[in-house]
Amino acid sequence: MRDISGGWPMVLASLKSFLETGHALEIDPPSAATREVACA
Amino acid sequence: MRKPEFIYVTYIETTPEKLWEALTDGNFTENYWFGVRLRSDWKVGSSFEMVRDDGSVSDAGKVVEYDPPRRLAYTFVNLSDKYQGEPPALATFVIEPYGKLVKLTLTHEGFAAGGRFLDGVSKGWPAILSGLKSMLETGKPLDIPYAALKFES
Repeated sequence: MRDISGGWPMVLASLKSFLETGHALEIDPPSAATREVACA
Repeated sequence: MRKPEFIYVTYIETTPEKLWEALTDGNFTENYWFGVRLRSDWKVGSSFEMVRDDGSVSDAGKVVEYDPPRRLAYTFVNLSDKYQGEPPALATFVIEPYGKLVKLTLTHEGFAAGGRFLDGVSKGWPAILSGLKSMLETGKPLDIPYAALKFES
């Protein structure tokens, strides 16, 4: 639950960028992962 | 029991400085915030207002935190009759560099138990912040009809 809550905002933000600009977000995360509880 | 709150996280291809400007400059907000201009001198404790294109104020509160380009917080409540008696709720924006992106986290809290304002902002914020991301990445606003948000009357 914790992991997918952290992952969905990134996935959906990248999906939106891809659909609107033709390219996905260039994901280069910082080393410390953080938890999120809502989606983009 | 957990307090009612709204949390939204997104990632935007922009810089913290441009995102900060987009969140605080009324000339920019009217592009993605259903025509609303934010009005404040942004000093902690100063008034904060959302101004419609006809000059009327839709929402009002106070600036709580102003730390560019990292943290912005203000309270507000909608001034329409349906939210009468509800307290201003606290919206906090946290901006963090994330590789070549910027991570934006909005937490909106401090709602009255059983109130209607949380439901209202829960419908409004996704459209506003989705439009914000589009504006910063494409330069074009989203065309989301206000009626599509289906606010309770």
